[in-house]
Amino acid sequence: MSAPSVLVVEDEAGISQFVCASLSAAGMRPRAASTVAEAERELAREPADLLIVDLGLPDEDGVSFIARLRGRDQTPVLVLSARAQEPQKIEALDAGADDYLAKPFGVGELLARARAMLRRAGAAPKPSATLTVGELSYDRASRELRLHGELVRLTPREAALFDALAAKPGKVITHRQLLAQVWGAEQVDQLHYLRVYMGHLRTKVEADPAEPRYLLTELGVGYRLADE
Amino acid sequence: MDVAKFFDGKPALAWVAGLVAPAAATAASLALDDRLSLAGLSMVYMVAVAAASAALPRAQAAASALLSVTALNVGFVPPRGSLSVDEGEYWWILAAMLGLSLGLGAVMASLRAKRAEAETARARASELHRLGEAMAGADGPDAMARAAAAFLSKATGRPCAIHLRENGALSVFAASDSESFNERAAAWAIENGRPVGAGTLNWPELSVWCAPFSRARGIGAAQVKLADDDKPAASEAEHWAALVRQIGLTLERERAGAAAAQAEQSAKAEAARNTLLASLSHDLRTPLAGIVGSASALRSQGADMPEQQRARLLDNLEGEARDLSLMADNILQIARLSQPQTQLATQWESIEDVLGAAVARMRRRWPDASIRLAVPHGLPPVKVEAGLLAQAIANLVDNAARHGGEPPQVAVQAGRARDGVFVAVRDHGRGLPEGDPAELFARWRRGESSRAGGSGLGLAICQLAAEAHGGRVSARNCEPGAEFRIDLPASEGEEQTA
Repeated sequence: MSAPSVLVVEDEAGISQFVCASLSAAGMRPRAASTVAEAERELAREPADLLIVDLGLPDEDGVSFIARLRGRDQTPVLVLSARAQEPQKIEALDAGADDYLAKPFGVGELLARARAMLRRAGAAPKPSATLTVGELSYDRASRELRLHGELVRLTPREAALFDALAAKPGKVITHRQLLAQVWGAEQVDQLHYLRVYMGHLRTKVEADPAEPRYLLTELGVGYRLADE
Repeated sequence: MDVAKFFDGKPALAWVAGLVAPAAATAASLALDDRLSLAGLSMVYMVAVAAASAALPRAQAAASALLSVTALNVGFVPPRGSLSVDEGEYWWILAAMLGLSLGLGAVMASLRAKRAEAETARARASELHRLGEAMAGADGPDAMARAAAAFLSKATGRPCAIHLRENGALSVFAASDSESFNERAAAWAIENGRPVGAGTLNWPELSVWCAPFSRARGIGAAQVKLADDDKPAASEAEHWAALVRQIGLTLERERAGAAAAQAEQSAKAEAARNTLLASLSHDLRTPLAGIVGSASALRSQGADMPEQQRARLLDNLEGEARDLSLMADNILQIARLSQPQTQLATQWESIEDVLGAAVARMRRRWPDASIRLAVPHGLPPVKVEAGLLAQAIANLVDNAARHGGEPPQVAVQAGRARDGVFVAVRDHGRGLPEGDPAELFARWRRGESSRAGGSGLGLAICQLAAEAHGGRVSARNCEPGAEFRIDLPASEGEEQTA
């Protein structure tokens, strides 16, 4: 497989340089764009396997760029956000971004996210019938969840919640998305439902619910199912 | 006596009563004629006259007295049946009776007038008092002015407005917006410190009555709208003026109080800013010195260094930079939480998620430290701002890792408290410094033996964050080490889940 192409859309030269340098040292093929317009030109020239998009771009709101991108294809998008951009970060994820990194971040975190996203994107286009993560295995068709090979009994709500996370393992699913999917569009503000059911689910699945191995928290953003 | 009030405004009825008194006395005297002398009969008439004086207005009482004396003269003074009088003694009786009757009437009338005056004064005093209460119930100068206008309208029975002058602009407050008022009259009254309009010496032809709050300090005036031929009596206008003075005093007190509170708040904010700047210049320099030093050492001598030393310098570089990042977050939060009435973006969160995020962050920062996390199952969700609370707890863990022994051991624990949940962070270090534990949270105070820098802002953030959530922080020594604890109240409206 040839080196994956990564488009880094970031207007701060310092960050753009360090991100591109570490991506190429890790065997990827990065290109840099400092505006949305430049990014569109680069994409028109050659599609990318992964986009890394800063939320504070000078010419266009990163969120609307991501929404437009999602209208065309499913190229994975990693969002870079500063502390003051919490709300935009969640909007970006709701708009279809796959994951985020809060600045400041280290190279280790960056490469881990980038590799995981490329791996997921490169996997079979159709999700396999059975999902296996660590000691968990999940049969998508029958919605049967097994831990160490033993069936875990889930209530219909818990099963729906797990199914929503298992649809895209590794991807951050926002509170809003989970509530809409499991409880319905009019319940998207009832965050405490989600807290309580996630608590139930964790006691059934996790060895120590306070330090989860599978059902991971993205504080203030949402949850994700570990994919390795 | 309420009989006197009964005849108020009913002069015809009073005239009739004035006739009835001598008639009744004459009837009684006819019946008692055989048994009483003339002196006794005159006493019967005196009773009637006294009753009329007590009950009737002055004119009717006087007429009743004259009629009684005439009836006694005609009916019973010899020769009976005529106005003429036989003996000098009878003249004396009639004269004394007439004098007494008229005198009694005059005394009674003046007593009644005094009592009415006293009653008016009492009613006006209580009105002043109620005005004070009505204004005290309102919040802020505008609402107070509106309440005062409404009160004045009720007290005067006419549409009223309060005019306030602030920074040269005049604003009007009235009980109802439909009335329009004479702003020029109000402006004149405020400017000149004198009342204006009907019933005053200035422009008495205007159909308003307008008086300033005070002679000198031109902050406002009150206006009473009058009908075309309406004009307050002197005593009424005096009472209105007293009400207006009271309104002025109350508004002025409110303004002075608000100004003092604002001055105090800005002084506090100023002091906080100064302490923050002083603390920053120190706290920022320490990690920056480490970063510049490590980076320049690696650049100029890195090639000659043993691998291990290079790795240590790189560790320093990253650690100090992460400290700076934590400090930047802390400074932002201090600035935000020091604002009066900061709004938190609270959400339903599970305490284990918040603790998990804080601990994960600190495990990355302190890879050598042992940070244990214990959260019992089934804690209720709490309504908090997750990022802020996680930051506060990360600061406690950071603090514990710095002071927590070698290598640091930190235990993070959550649980149910009497009326909410608590989070406790315990280390295995040398315990708290001497002195009051509450002092530790005083902003930007630094512990004496801090390891590898670290910002004194951390504990201050914890305190501000806990208080912003309606909770509190505390610190105590335990064997070994120290424990810092955040108590959060149970969130209201904890709803049942679907």
